[in-house]
Formats: sequence, C-alpha cells, structure tokens
Amino acid sequence: MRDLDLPRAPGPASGAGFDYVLCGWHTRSDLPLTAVPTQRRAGESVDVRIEIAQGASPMAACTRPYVFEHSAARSLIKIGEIAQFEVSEGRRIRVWLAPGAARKDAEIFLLGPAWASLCHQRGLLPLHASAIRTRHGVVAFSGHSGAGKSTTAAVMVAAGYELVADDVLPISLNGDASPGAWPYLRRMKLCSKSIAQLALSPVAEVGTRLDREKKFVHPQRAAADEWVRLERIYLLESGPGATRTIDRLVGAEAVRALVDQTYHFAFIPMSGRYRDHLEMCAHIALSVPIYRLPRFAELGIESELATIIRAHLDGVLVDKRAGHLDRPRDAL
Amino acid sequence: MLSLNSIVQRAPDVIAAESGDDLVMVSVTNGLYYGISDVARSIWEAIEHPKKISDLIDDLTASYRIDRETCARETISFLESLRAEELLQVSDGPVA
Repeated sequence: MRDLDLPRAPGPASGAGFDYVLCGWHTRSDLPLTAVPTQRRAGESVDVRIEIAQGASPMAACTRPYVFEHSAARSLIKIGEIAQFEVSEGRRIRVWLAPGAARKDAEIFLLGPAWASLCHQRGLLPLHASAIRTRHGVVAFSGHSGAGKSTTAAVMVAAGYELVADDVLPISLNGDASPGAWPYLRRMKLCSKSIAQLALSPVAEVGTRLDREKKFVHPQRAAADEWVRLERIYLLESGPGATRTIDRLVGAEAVRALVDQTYHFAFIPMSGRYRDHLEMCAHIALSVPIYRLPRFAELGIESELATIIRAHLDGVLVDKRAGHLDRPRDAL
Repeated sequence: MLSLNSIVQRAPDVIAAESGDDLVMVSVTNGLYYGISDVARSIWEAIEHPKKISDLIDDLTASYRIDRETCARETISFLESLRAEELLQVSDGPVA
C-alpha cells in the first residue's frame, strides 16, 4: 500500500532535457512542459524519465485509434492522431508523437493518463482532483470533468491558499500510513469565464486542437515541494440530484467516492490491482474526512464560494443567505 | 430459486475491505463495487464457507430479535440479490 521503493532511472542528472520536480520526483523530460517551472536539483539522480522515442512503438501495428492496455509494470496508451505512450516500471514514459500532431495536445495525455499510469505503477492513488494547502494540510476538490475542480481551487488560491495540484492529485501514504500528497502540476487550466471573473492573466493555450477553450494560469501562490498530510476531500456535486448541504460521506459511500474519482481507473481492472486499490481507498476513507460540496452556482451563491469553504474548513460554517448548509460534524 | 435447503457460499472472486461499520466489495468478474452493512454484513461474513440457509437462519434468529418467518424471507431475498450480482455460489448438496 505504500509508495514503492523503486530503483532510480538510469542516466546522470546533467545533460539534455528539461528538469522538473513532479510529485516529489526529479523528472527529466525531452518535452518542455507548458507553464510548468523547471527545477534543477543539483547532484540528484533522475527518478522519472520522459523520452521522445525513436523507431516504431509497440502499438505501431495496431489499427485501432485508441489503445489502453495495462499490466502492473507496463502501460500502453495510444491516442488517435496525437501520440502513443509506453509507461514502464513507474519510472519511464516513452512518447511517440503522431505525424503532424501538436506537442501541446500530446502533453494533455502525457500529464493525464500516462502520468496517472506511472503513479498507479508506483502504488499511488491518482485522484481526479485539484488541491490547495491550508495550515492543516492538503484540501482536495474532487469531481468529474466539468464539476468545477480547477475553478474552485483558483477561487481558494485567490483567497490566499497555495495551489498543490490541478486536475490530478497523486496520493501516497507516509511511514505511519497517513495519506498525503506531493505537489504535482502547480498551474491551473481555466476557462475564459473563470479567468475573467478572477481577474487572472493566462500564460499559455492548453491545447492546439484539444481543450481550446481553456488556458493555463500561474497561481498567485504555489505549495512548496514537500509531502503534506491530506486534510480533507470535497466531492464536487453537479447535475440533477446534487445535494444542497455539505454532508460528510462515511463507510461504503466514502470508499465509493474515491473509487469513482480515481484518475484513469482503467489501470485497476486491467492490471489486476483491485485488492490494493480497494484497500487504499478504504484506508483513505477511514483516515480523511470526505464531504459532498454543492454546486454553488446552481444555488446562486457562487460569489460566496471561498467564504463558505473557508468557514467549513475553520469548523464554523456561517451561512447567512442560504441557511441550509450543515455545520460540520467534526470541527478541526 | 433458493430454498432453506440450499447451500450458499461467497463467490471466490470477490475482494472486500472494511470501512468502519460497512464492508465494501468489488467483483473481479464484473468490476462492480458494492457496499453492505448491518445484518447484510453479518450474512456475508457467515457464508465465507458453504452454509445451509436453514442453519444461517438459525444463527441469525439467535443473534437478532426477529421471528423466523420474517428472517427467512428477508435473508433469502438478500441472498437472491447476491446471486443476481454473481456474488454467490449455490448448491443443493450436503455441506462439505
């Protein structure tokens, strides 16, 4: 259940490539990563290598446009006319760019499903979530695509918190089995409406053909490179039947929420990791409070989002207008 | 159709983990997740090995305040739902 103690990737820390620290791992990439600051850690060996591969990929003969094949130690991912990826042993990602494909479009899948597969291989739980850091630990905003994860995190960063990750939050256990997280991508992928509402300045387009309506934004505050205990998880509700109160999920319902929000869940059944994954989710559900968070836009109180979440984080929920939000059962 | 003489046992390819008072299970066969609690969890734990339903009902009526007829009806209904989800093995032979 703990992060695997894997051998280091071969090769010295110096040489060609771009150096990053992702999830606490010194990562060397042939591809520059958009809006991700490079960080050189002198004298340290490379933990993860991202390579532009030469020659034919293991999926070259496959005529299907999309491939997702996983074993415990190797993942093969093919995304149509964008790119193909081979993720090995939790320490190497090889990338074959399709002819004419834009690097930025490949990056979306490199840092999404391919990186999530690498996390799965290392025994981490990549949660579909954006996250901030508070004085009590990491607070995750989890939910399906379009639920408002990035926007909620951006609102909280504007309110003074530090960004830990956007869209994917890899969770690991420390020596005493406490769940926590290292920072991952500390830049936000936001739509134009959110950028305008928060008066932010975009720094780059997300994709060329994909995610064209979104732009990258640097956070005002980013969390330092250190593992921090996971304090709580909010599950962003949306659509018909969404709750109107902040309720705590317990027992099987909490575990199910973590299963549902596991990023690139396809890895689990294909690699036969049901038991490890279920035990990890059950352990986190017992260790970390998980709350349903209403879609505030649908309640007409979106402008008060940061105030409401901060009040809930502080254990004193004051809701003058709606009057229907629950006081948390376990104040900090 | 299950009867009091049916012998039931958990399906072998079900993985379970505790979460407080609940038990969360995943079927490796169909990839679906399930959550059970209270009496349902007691029944699940009681059928780790082959068990005749009438014996299971004897145990439950000894542990819970419930009349035998109601217990039999509700237990068989729950077991039928387990079988429908391929979480249960059933035989009519003697218990090994």
